Amino acid sequence: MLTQIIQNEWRIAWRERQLSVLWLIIGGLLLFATFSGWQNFQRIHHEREEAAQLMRQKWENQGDQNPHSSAHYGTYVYKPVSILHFLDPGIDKFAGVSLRLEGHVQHGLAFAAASEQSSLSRFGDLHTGLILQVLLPLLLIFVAFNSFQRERGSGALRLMLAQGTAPRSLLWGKILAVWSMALALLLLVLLLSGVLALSQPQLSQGTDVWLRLLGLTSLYALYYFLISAMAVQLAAAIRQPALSLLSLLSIWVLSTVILPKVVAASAEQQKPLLGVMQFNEQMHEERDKGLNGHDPEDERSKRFERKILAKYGVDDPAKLPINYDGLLMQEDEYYGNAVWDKHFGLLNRDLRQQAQYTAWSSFINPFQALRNLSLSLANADLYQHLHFQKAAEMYRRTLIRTLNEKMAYGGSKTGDWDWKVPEAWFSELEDFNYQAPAMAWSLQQRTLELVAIAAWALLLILLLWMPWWKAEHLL
Amino acid sequence: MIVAHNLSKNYGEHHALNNLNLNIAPGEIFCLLGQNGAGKTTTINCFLGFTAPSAGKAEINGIDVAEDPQGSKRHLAYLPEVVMLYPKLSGLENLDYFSRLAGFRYSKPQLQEFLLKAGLPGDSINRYVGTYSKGMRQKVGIAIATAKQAKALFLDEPTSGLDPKASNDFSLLLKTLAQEGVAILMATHDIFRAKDVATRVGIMREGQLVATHAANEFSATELEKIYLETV
Repeated sequence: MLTQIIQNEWRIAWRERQLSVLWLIIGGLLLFATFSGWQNFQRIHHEREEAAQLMRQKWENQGDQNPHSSAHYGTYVYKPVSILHFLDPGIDKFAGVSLRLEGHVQHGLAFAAASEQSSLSRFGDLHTGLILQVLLPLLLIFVAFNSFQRERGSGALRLMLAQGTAPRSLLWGKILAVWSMALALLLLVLLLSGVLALSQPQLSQGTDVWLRLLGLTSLYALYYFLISAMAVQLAAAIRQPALSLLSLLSIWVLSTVILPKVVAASAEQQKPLLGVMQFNEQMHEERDKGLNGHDPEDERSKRFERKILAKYGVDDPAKLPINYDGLLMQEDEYYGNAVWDKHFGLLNRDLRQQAQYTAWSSFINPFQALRNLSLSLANADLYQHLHFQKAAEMYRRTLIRTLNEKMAYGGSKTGDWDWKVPEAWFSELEDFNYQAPAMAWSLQQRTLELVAIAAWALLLILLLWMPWWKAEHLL
Repeated sequence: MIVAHNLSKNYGEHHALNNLNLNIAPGEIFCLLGQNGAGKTTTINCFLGFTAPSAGKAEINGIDVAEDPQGSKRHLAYLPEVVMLYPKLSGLENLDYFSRLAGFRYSKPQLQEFLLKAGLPGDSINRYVGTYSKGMRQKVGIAIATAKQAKALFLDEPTSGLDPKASNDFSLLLKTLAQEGVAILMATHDIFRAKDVATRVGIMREGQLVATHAANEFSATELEKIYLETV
């Protein structure tokens, strides 16, 4: 019986011009968005690769150089774009993609494209994720509504029930029909994505990309089940067509537009973040309380000098077998690192608390769970961003420490600022090679959302088993 | 075959159906007459399991509808007043779909035969039902009922809106079904059609079956007079 109902819904969806046109439009938009998203991904990927290569070239061709001058000269690292960027571009546009690495100073990520645009731009980009998250559910709602109202109005529903169709089977049939239509479009996107990913084998090596693609597909499939089950049950429960449509559309607007905005604003209110300038001011203020590697008269510097002199058993830095300036610079770095750890730690804590706040809202709004999990599976969410930022900072610390240690132990003496290291040595220093986190790590950050979306699925299935689904309530 | 025992349905203080007792044997056509709101459709809804009775019970082929709604539906067919069916499916596709829902799978020639037997013109079988007249849709409805091989048939105002020729064709179809042993309960406003097709006629008023007569006891005019006096 279920098969009959599903087949019939498909046949009608295909034959009803308005519905089939809507399906074709959404399908066309999905293909277009996926393909253009892929082209966009390739452009961004090449741009960042080129920029990263250029910076490496500049680093390797900096000539014979004093290590500390090189630390000041610094370099840039670029956040690699996830291959699944073409499905869900994530927060790069708002959070920045490049990071300047140098001694003494820790910078924040720069080049956030959206920083020069209005907040409306957040809704302006047509990408596959947006269509899958916002437009396709709207179409499913229309299909579910149309399916019930059409049969109520035409008397076909009475006839179906009189033929012996059990009310629950009818609901399941319609849910599975609406769901399978969504799955067909999803499969289309999955196939195209697979083909596109395979066209760049160097970018899709390893299982993680494919696991993530599978994870995204499963996530959207589950979400469409929720939408189908919710829309069919509401369309079945509310007999007045206008009220039924109004309720379904209200839920859509509330869940996709209003609630996410309200929750984000509320999270910001609960845990306000410092502005960039204020944050930098606080960092610099605290940083200034530490050692000053360039001011030997500084009291802390003097204390450190006494410690080193005692260690080597000499009474003057000039008598040290090493370059004291290198050690002082590194000591300054340690202090700076502690300041960074403290301030970025606090910032990360606040960001994570905000993220947790929105994660909890998944229990009242499954769209939030979908949005967060989609970003996470596409490796383009806040947690991945913080992961990159931490990896870049760790690289900076290693790089600067290596430079300072070269300065200290490489053969120069204290005060020998003109001492230089051959250019070839800089080429031997390892380049920044960011390893994006695996899917399991991404999902660990989103446990709440996973539980919430599973709870929603369970709830909607349980509702289907409630005793109120009788013929008299459907007609 | 179609039996009501003290069947009642209340909506708050309103008695939509009050203590109805009815027994329709195989081969019998029982027409329920009455004004709007007299309880005709409520009676049919109770037999179809679309309305839970407040008291009493409705039985089809000995099965209590309230106890086993799905089991009782195996033995009944139903033709609503509005039989729009699926306008974007052909008559044949509609029949095929509804037959499959009832658990019957017929070949294309068998389906065509049901439709032709119901009086649907052969050239319209594969046309979308959206292009059919009401009479043609009723014929598809009858084909659906006959294809289900049901022992009880419920019809709710089936001839309203039909032209005299279509209405007459429809009466002939019902008589054929009754001859095949189907018990038929038909709610209608059409006294003359009821007189023409029924074996018994019941008149309902304010949820009660206030009179039952054999259809051949009176002429159509006499039946109309009794009806007007009763309601």
